[in-house]
Amino acid sequence: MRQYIIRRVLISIGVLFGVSILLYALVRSMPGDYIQTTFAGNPNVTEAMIQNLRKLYGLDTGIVEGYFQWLGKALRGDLGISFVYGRPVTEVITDKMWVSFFLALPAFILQLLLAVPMGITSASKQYSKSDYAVTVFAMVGISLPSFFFAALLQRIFSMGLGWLPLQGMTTAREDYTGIRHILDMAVHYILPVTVLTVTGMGSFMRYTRTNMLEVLQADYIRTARAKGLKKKTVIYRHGFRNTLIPLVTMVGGMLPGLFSGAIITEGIFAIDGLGYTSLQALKQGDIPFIMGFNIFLAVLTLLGTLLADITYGLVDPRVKLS
Amino acid sequence: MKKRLLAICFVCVLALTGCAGKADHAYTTVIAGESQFNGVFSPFFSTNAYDKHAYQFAFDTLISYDSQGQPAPGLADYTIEEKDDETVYTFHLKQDVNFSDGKPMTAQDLLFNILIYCDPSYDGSSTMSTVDIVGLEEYKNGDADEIAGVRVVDDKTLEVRVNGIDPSAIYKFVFEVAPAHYYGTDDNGNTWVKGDLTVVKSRNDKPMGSGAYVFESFQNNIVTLRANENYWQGAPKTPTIKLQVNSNANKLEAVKQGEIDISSPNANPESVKMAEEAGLYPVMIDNPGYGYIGINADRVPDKNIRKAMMHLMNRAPAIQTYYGDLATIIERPMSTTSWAYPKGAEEFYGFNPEKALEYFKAAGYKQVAENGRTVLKKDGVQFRIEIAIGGEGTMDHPSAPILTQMKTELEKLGGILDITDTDSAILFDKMKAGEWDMFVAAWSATPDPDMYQLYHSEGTTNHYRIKNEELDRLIEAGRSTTDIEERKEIYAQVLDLIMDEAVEMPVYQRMNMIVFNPKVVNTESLIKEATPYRQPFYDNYFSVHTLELN
Repeated sequence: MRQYIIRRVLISIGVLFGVSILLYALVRSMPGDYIQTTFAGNPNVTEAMIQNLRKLYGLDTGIVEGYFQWLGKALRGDLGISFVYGRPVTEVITDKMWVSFFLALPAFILQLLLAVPMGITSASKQYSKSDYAVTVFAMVGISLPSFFFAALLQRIFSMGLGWLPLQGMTTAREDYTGIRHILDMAVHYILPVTVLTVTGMGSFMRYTRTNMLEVLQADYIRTARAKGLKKKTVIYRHGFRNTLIPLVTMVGGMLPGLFSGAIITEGIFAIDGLGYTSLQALKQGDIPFIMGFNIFLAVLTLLGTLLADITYGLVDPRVKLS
Repeated sequence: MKKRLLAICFVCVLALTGCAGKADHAYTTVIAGESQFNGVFSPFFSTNAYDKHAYQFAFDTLISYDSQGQPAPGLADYTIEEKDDETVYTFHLKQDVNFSDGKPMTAQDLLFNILIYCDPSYDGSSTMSTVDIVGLEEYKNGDADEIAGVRVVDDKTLEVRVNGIDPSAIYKFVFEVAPAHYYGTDDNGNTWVKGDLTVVKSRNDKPMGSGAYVFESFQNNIVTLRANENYWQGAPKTPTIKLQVNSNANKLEAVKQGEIDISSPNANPESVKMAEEAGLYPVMIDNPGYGYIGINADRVPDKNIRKAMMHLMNRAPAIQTYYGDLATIIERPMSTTSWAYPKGAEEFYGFNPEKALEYFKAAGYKQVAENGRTVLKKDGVQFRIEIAIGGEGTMDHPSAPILTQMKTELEKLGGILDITDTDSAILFDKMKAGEWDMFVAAWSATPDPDMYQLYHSEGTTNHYRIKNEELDRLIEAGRSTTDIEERKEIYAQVLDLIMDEAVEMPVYQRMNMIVFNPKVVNTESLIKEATPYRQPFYDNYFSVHTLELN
């Protein structure tokens, strides 16, 4: 197992190198750069000033030279200072990732709590009315664009019924602290978490259903039924436990992704998370941030797949990691 | 008996507390919605208008603008004297002002601000370093540790000497006065040195100045500012200002819901109507800037062709559709918010396809019949021209109908117009490189109307590639005098010349809107005549402390 992990980590490092080269080349090749987007609208800016700014922001080098400059600093843990946010990239990311995490985590848990039982029911009563109902609901969930669903929820629950706040992370009018502050934030998170849950749970549900169906076809299930066991025992004790294997591995793989942020939902609900932050940086050509953030995402993805594979090895006795 | 005595005492105390103290306001906090914060809350380094909204209430400016965008006294009075080839600007702090931490403001602070803006490693958006201050060159690119032309005369007076005459220089002194003791030294005792502004940047997240409000925090997408009780113009009437991030789609709704009290949604006829129907208080302000259609004179060298294209532009219906009454058609390439815009300027090129044909013919083109259609040809080649517009792929742009109509009209005459609808970054990149024949863009206006960079043959943002000697001469004349009337006349001529060159068709001047919730904000305490330089609420220059809530 240890050898396996070490080997995977080494491969991941190689992948990161490749990703960073590709990223840097792409970002530098984008039309328009930070200097242009930020300063060119001002008619008073002279060419001399632009050249000086280019130098100060490190944008006057070629792509290869620029990449090695970035790499040199990155290997020492210095991801540079964000052009847009004026702070070290590592600081911006670590500050905002927790906001995104605490938005994504409740949604993730809710998705699992709702989707898994629905998937199991759907699979065990295949082709019945409940199966179709659940499937249709899942499809609707996956197909709904998040901005549309968000706007719909806002219109109904906020503008219409006035039960929930329209957007934001806290009530600006008050200065809540302590428990009241936490409760206030929780109330503000209800709508965005709902959006993330409904749009995300469809795929979980389908995944559970498919795996469950496969498991239910197995011989040992037939044996269990033949033995005379109650249907419930068969499904939950024998069937579900085997479905858990792929499910757990998938969940493990998705955990790191919870930090990456939901660009659209965070934007609509004005939540200061990593998703919205990175969109702004991307639009303005903030190279240090784009590089830092995307490497961060790559690390999360690699970590996620590593976790998934390890968990598989741990949970499924049939799988041997070597 | 004891209980009754207690009850009577209790009631008396209640009554007394009711009588004591000033009139109660139901609201003590006003909340403004902003699109996004980058968190660079520094007058030196912010590049985002919303960050500026957040820190501006914590500062006062050295000098200011009046409602027309002309320079006016601020914290300091100023005099401008022309003497031996130099212009001497003398700033005199009018009264004793303390920063919000209690320390007094002196001319040393003013000097500090200028040194930061002119530092060789300054990478913010101020253009003060482009002013030809005496000794600036040696400071920026040489070893000098002072700028020879900037001198502290006494505790309250600063003198700045500029080579020659530069009428736009005075505008560069409209800056927020930052305290040297706070921005020049960080919390660990490190002080700034020329060429390294890390210490100054360390204050990006916590601005401090002499303004009406003290910046408290930025958390959970909300900036909190508390009234500065010791503000030199008197304690502000509103105890707390908060600015909250608010997505563009919800700007108006959030005010209707009462979650925020002030916001700036896009001004279009629908949103204005919605605001009024909801009982809100919208204020319309001219946008300092204008939209235009430009032609690259290098790629389209024949003036006749350019004039022909100008006559195919029908601006009014397009702008009416997009903006309704909220935008005006302008006739000269300058924002109407500028004092130099020639009032009563008349249309130069009306929509007139017949005149366009005349100009095409003058350029040597002939209409020939080919396969049953009319083709506009010269030397065997059909007339073809390209125009780029930043409609993000969906032709979502106020000038889009102008282009589609131009295309149809040109087709009738026998020519071809290729419309390229592209992303704004690409459009701008290629425009700078001079790769479009024609392009649709917009300028934001600066208070000073000098347009050297835009239209002078040596100008760096001369996207039209104009090279007109008479124009050059006039532009140079316009920036070598500070007499307003003289400059107005010169610029009227300049604008006419530019129109004659047919490289820019000014299209529209639109409006911005700020919406207030009259339930929370006492609208009587807002500025009545709103201009881009005197905006209600956002005009912190000496009036936010009078903002009152209900």
